[in-house]
Amino acid sequence: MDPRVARIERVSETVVEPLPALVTEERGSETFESLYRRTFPRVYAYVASLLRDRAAAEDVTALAFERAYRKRLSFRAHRGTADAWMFGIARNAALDELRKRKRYAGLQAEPEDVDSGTPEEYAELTIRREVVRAALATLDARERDLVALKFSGGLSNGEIAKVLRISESSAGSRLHRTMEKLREACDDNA
Amino acid sequence: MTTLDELAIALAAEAPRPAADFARRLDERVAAGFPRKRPVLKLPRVALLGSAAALVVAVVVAVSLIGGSGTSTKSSGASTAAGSSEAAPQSATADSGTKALSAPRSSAQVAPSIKVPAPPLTRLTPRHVERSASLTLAATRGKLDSVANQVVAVVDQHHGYVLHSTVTSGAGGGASFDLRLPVGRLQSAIADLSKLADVRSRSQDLNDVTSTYNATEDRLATQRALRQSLLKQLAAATSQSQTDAIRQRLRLVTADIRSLSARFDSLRQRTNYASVEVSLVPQRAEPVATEGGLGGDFHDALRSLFDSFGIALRVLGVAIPLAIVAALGWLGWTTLQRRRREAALF
Repeated sequence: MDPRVARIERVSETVVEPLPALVTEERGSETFESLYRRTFPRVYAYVASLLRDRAAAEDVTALAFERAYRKRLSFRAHRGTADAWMFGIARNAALDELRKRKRYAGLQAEPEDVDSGTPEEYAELTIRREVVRAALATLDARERDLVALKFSGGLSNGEIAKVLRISESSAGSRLHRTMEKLREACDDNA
Repeated sequence: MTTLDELAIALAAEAPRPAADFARRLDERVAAGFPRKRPVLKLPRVALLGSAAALVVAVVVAVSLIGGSGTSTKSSGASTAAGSSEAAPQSATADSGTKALSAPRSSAQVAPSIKVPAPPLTRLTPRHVERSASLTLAATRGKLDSVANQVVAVVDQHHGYVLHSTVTSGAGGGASFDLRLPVGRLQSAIADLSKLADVRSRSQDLNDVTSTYNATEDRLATQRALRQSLLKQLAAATSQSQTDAIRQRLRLVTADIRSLSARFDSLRQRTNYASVEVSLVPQRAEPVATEGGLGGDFHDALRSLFDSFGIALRVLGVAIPLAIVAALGWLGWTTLQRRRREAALF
């Protein structure tokens, strides 16, 4: 068992009132804690991609989950998935933070786990990462938002459409155009 | 890196990961249910909206209840003075007081050291007011006779009398009464009459006849004094021609006194007794079972239902526009908020 999950379960035993359930169509009744555990890394990744500031991303992620917890009774399954609902809250919190700070700080480099064995493989991975980052920098903020929802948040096109309040086909075509643009930028930088 | 699949893998690998310390802290907060740092007494929005709606409903109900009464009161002549017999002297005193104060003030501007004596107070005369009232009562057909009898009983109880009455039976049945009630018991008598049946309308009228009353009284006194004087002259008359002339004048003065006395008695009667017209009409929308019981209860229930429906309509008439304005405001606010958020991406 994942030691973090085990720790959460131990703490949960001391809570008098169990966390209330979110009734979702795809998973039936789901606790808020379950939703949190399932979406936390992706929500953080999405917020961090949008804000490009590690400290702010932590604050906003915590704020988003707290807001979701307070508003958990307002969740309606027929309006969309719990993931789309959670990412909608996170996006609003991130945009509020962006509007408040009015700055786009560069994402602080994180010490990623590199599981490449040889120095050659490590060098190749570093170069590829730099190429992708340079290509991402050519996108405008809306396109970066779209890419972050898809690849950092791991949302489906339907869920992205719910978060952005656009149609699913529109979300798909926008994503396709953005990916083509990103691929061309990668080829140019390679 | 030319394929989209490769790019997707690279982008997914590029996703930032949360720090272990941050994950641990957030885990603890989630498990504890996001405890608030300090208790904040914050009313939910629903409670605020509910309170506002309750306030609106209370205002509408109060307005409808106040405005629904059919009672009206009007007065003619010296309406302020006629409200009560004490009001007129107070008014007269106030008038004279105003005059008494205004003179020294104007004089003081010219010569402050000279005291101008106040003019003598005018004679405080009681006000003489004719009072009349009309009352329309509605009762079920079966109770018309009973209510008519009770009207007469109330009049007797208040030491009044029935000047004229008409009671008709049948399909267009009803009754009307022309009553005279002592002025001092008018209000209590009307209150008692109003308890006999449903009051459809009620009105009161006041007419100040003080000047006519006083003029008639003064002229009567003068004519009586003249008659006494003529009688003394008649006793002292020495010739037949003098006696005839005095008797001729006495006849004229006596006739005048009779006329004035009749007029004065009539005035006194009208000011001492109020004229009250009572109309007794059958109830509208009478149920088949008029003697109470199940039919009467059903009729009462229907009336209550109609009343409730009317009140609900009035409340909705106020609440719906307010709700529309609130909804438009909320829609505008959320749209503005969304646009401002989206603008942060540019």
